[in-house]
Amino acid sequence: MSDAVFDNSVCDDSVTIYGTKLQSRLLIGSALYPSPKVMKEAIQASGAQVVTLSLSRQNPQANGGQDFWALIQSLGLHLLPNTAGCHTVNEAVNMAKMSRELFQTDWIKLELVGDDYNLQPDPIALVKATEILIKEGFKVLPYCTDDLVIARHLVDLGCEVLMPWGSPIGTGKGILNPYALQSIRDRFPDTTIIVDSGIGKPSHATQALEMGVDAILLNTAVAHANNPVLMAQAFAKSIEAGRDAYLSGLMTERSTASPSTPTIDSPFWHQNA
Amino acid sequence: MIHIEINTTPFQIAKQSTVELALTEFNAKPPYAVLLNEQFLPNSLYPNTYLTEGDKLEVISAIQGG
Repeated sequence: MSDAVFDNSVCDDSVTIYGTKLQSRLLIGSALYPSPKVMKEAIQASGAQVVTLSLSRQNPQANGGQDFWALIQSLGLHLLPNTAGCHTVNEAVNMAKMSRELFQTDWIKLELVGDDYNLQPDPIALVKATEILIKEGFKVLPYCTDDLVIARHLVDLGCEVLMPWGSPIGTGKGILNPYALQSIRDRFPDTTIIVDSGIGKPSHATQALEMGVDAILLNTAVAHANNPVLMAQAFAKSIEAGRDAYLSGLMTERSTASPSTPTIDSPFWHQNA
Repeated sequence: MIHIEINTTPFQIAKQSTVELALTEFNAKPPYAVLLNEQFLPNSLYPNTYLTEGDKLEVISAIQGG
């Protein structure tokens, strides 16, 4: 065997979001959990350093969301507010401004629904809103499809992070178009790529990380598991495995078989076999 | 009195009322952000923004999100 020494101590294998370095490559949502207690435990079990949240009209009779807010604050994580439910540029821009004031962060997960059937992002409105928000000082994390050209427009506007879908939100179908996702990865090597939706099981996450995707944002797959805390741990492991595999360098796929066990001089070996 | 809406519900308030007063009377629980007629209103403007008939105020707070 070779005595070559490999440096297994990857000192700073962090993922960067607009200059903020994170050790965890899992970003997690705060919705759909069976209870606030399970939500907190699952988020903690995931090891995520970023949690997503949103905005809604307040009902003062229902405590105005103060319990949720207190719970989120107790986690001590980076907050990533979204613009879920927005259909127009004006709605998204105003939602972003409210989020910035309320959550004291320039980060905004920009979501603009273009179709209510599959919640596909509206690429044109997304680009327009991104341009406005970046000029206003926001650090935009755009939820986009896996369209390479839209990705280019977003990067050209100054996005340091792209969040393409694997498949539509909440479907759990995984990465429907690996070629498109790989193209985005390859064409924007200096951009942080986070797969934002459609991840249904840990192997989907591993696949994305093996492709060189930087991180995964997920919610439903953990929150809707029978045991969200255990599933959060499973995702954390799968993402770590995928990342290690990517750093290790995957073998080249072949069409023909090649024995792994040396066959020369094996007990029944025949030179002309 | 003038008639406005807060979070889509009809609401009556005295003429010359500010957004700050309306939020108090609505019993809004901090932290929140505000839309006035579908446009973001920075909190620094609450004390000197006066409401008029038909204004639509929305008081927005944090919820779970993915």
